[in-house]
Amino acid sequence: MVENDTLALQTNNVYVHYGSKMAINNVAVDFHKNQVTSLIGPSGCGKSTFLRCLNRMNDVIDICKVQGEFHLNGIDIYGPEIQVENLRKQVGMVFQKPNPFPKTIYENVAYGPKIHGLASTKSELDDIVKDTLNRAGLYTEVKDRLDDIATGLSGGQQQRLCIARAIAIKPEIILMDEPCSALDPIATAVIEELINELKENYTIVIVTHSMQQAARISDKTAYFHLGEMIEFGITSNIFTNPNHEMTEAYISGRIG
Amino acid sequence: MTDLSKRLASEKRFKYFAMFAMCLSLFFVVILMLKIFTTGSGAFIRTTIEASVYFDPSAIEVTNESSVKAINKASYVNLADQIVKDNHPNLSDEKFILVREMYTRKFDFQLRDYIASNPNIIGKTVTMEITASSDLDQIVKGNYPRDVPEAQRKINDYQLSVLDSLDADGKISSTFNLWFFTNGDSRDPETAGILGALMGSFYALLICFSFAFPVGLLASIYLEEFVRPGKLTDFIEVNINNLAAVPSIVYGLLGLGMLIGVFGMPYQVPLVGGLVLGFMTLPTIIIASRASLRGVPPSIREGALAVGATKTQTVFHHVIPLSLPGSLTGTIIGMAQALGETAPLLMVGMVAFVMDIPGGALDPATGLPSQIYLWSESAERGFLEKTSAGIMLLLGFLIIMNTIAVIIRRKLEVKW
Amino acid sequence: MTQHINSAFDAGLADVNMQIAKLGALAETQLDNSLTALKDKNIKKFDSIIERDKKLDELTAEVSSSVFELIALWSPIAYDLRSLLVADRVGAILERVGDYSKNIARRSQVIVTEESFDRLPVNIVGLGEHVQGLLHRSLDAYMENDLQKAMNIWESDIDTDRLYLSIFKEIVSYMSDNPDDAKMLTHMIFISKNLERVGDYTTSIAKQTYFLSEGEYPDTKRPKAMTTY
Repeated sequence: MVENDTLALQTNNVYVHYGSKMAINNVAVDFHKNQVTSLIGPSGCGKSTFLRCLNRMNDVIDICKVQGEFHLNGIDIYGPEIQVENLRKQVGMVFQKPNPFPKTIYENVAYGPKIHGLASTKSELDDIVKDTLNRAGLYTEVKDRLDDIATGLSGGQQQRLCIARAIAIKPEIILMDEPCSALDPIATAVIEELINELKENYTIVIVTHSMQQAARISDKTAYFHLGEMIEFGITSNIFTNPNHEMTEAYISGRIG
Repeated sequence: MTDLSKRLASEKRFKYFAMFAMCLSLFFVVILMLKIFTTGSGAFIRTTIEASVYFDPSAIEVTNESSVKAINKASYVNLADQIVKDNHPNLSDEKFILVREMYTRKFDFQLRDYIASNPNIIGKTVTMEITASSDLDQIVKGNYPRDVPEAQRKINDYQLSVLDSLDADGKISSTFNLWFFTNGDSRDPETAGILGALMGSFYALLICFSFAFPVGLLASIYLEEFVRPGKLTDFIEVNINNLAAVPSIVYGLLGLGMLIGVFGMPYQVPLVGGLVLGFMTLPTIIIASRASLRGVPPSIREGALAVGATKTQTVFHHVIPLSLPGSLTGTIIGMAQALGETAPLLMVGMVAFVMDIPGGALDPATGLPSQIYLWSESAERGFLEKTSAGIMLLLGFLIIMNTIAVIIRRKLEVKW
Repeated sequence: MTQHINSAFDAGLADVNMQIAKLGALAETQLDNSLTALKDKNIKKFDSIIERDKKLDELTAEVSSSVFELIALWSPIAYDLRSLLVADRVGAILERVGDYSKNIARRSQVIVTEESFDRLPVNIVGLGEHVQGLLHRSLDAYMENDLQKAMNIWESDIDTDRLYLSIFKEIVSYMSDNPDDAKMLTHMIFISKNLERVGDYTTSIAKQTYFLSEGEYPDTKRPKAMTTY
């Protein structure tokens, strides 16, 4: 694989504590532009916690204390001059369970652009919604029912709508926290294909429990275990010939 | 407990006990309802006496050209007396008083209203249904026995004979008692109506809602969404739960001491009554609203935060719309409870005899339950049925409010 | 390797290894029988060798389908995937070894009846025994997953080449003196070429063993004694 040299997000010396419990211990991962990076590992290994550090979703949790360097295009995202709302405009997020707002499909997509003032007229907003749904591969399926309530869509469609909602505000990075774990294999395949297309324009970080999924869609893979990053490298290497015994045991389903 | 048949037998026994308990409570409810309905239904009927009415210009202070204001101001007592005399000719003064007592004391008001709504009537003769006095009404309805010694009756033998002759002439009839719904309170049962109390309760509940709902909603949003959980919030939570169980008369004392005593608000007005009911409903609203806020899944909040919404935007754009049905349901149930409360109204003076129908929250008024209480205290037999009718009305409103609450919860609540 | 969470997968993997062991033993027997038959001029044995080759083909097909099934059902990755892929390839190699043994037996059948056979100066059996040793050692290395043993095989391939080269030269020079024996000598060349090919396959097994444990192929060029022939 050709190494893309432009870094989107750089992390170093990351420590996260929940109260007195250490959740992340000295992790450093670099995320390259227009690449998909998977974070894999057993439950409770800290991969989701780490992911939520990247758009400061952990700020909501009082006892969660994040330390370390996070540089988005060279700027410290935990810096004092950073407004977390603006950070989240740049770093979008898609969650494990599809969580569309119980409003219309149109409103779901239009919400982000509205609060960030990305459209000044209704027709501009219409264009953004249409374009976004198109990029999320959902437009042809929902174009006749934009005013229907989004919770009436199928699980896979709901999740793609959530992806549309995230990309409607034109982020640079999309974080995905096990986006397919609530979906059937076909809906999963559609999302995976979508991720592959989105890679052209976005940098994607995905936490997944499915190692096959990580293998299929990601360029780089990081293996987490008990809050530490055991191995980080090119996905094809991790899945054919990992360097670390723990990685090997985990990915091949062995008792490590 | 090894023997299966024994276990099954005990199960059966338990079932019968439970059925018995349920039937017993149902029995009491039915008795209560029957009692209220049989007693109260009479209040919707009034007895009238047909009479020919000559609007004698000489007995009337006003003319056909007089303004409505003048007509309303004038006295018609003389006209009323003359009409009674016209219909019962050749009465001695003593007998006249007895016959006059058979007609409602408020005969003059009935005449006034008739003149006001029928201009150019003065000088003409019409046949009118004159409302009978409550005592006569009760005799006709059979609520007073006729076959007891005269001294134990409110209607003496002479009056009975007049009644019988009127009845023989077909002049006694029963009509729907619209006055019950359009009049304020009165010393005379036949003219006493519930509207004054109804409006008093309406204004009080309006004040209660406009005070308690926003305050309760905002307090619950603050407690649930913004403040960090800790010792202070625990303390507040415990106190709110306790306040919900505080006897309502304590809120009445609070209203008396604080609103009237300290802030110098007027006595007897729905504004104070409504605020007191609001204090009482506040814990219920806060508890219900917090529960419905907690019912909004965290994933919705995360979804909004993740697209860069601020905390306030998240709460106002997403959380509140989703929790509103729950909050409203709690509020309506709390208000239904407030509607039925007498004790707090008692303390702030909304339990007085008020004849006029209140036109606003600052007019002296009484509330539905306090009106019922007042009527139940009255000696006249005619108020007994008013009391029951008032209870029927109150129960009706409670049922309507609770139904609205159920409908809101069913229709508007988002399912997850 | 540590235990897999699903014991059924471990059982399947063990089953494939058993089949490979059986296949290896059979292939070795075939080669040994061919060489013994050649040495002892035992024409009778040839038929049984040809017969037993069918059994070897069947076993190879069995290995292949077991591997296919395990991959389809379990989607193994990393070491698990490599061990299955390698098992399939080693199975194919052993089938080829069996084929060469059969071919040697068939050619031997023709030449042992020739009266000039005994006068031949070339040491084909020597080459055969050398290759036999290599096959045994390569299978050992594979079954024991012994990287060092595998690398030794890799390096001793040059000896096979040298032995073959000398036999080839001898036959060629003998042929020019005895043109009447050309037919027999051609068979001899094929036999020794077959043995040399078996030798090559043993290095293939060694290479697969290396791949199995390292996840990549050895990048150094195999030492060679010749470029053509």
